[in-house]
Amino acid sequence: MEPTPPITRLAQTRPQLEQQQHQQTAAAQTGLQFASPEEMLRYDAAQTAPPVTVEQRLKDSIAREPRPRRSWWRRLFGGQA
Amino acid sequence: MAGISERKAARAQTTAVWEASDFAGIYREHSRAIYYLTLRLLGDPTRAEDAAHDVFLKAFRKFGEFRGEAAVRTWLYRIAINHCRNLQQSWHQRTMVTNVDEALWEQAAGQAENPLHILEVKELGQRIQQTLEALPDEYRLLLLLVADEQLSYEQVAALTSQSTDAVRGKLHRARRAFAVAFKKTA
Repeated sequence: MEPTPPITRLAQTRPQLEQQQHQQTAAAQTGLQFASPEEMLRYDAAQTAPPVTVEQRLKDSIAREPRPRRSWWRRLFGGQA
Repeated sequence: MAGISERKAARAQTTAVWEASDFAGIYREHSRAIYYLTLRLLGDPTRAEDAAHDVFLKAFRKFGEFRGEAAVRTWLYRIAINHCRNLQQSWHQRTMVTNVDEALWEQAAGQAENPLHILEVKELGQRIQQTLEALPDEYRLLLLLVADEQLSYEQVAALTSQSTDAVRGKLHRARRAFAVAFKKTA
């Protein structure tokens, strides 16, 4: 039995496919535009996640640490440490 | 087998300690911003990873002393900035342009008025890094801090030890310098 092509592909007519390809090319040619360096940096920061190894290393390091001392004012007033 | 179960138990205990501390939430909320700052200040993902770890560990050790007078984000940024400065001083290897004649940037100001435009998103990080490294230290830090929308100008001023008016003035020049340097990376 022949494998069925993806439905989305079947549903698209040739003009639709051409239009989609044209839009993709246009997007690639247009690229991105930022009004300011801050906007660009924000975009870059949003794409940049810290490596998961940082969290794991931090967990291990913290597990080896003595419990942090509660500050005098927290001990006095009973705040959460 | 006993070794594996011991390691599993140790890992579970580590996770329990982590989750029980208020610090897990702090890490989740601020790790992206702190890692990004260390990455762009140090310019090396491996060093940035080490630095981010060290910054949060320092913060954990000092957490008991944190009185909440400053926002947590500002407090973490202060630790990160000091940590990166110490690393840069000890490495003696970075050749940042720190004494750039400001007139150099002013001359090219006209070029900087246009929006910043890129075609290849995948190269953006590399170009940003090259651009930041071409800027004076204080411009680089200023732009990175102002880009964080959680920080007010007052907080940026406090972190960079200057007045808010000075921040606004330098920011204007920093933006132009960035735009000029960025175009050169194309």
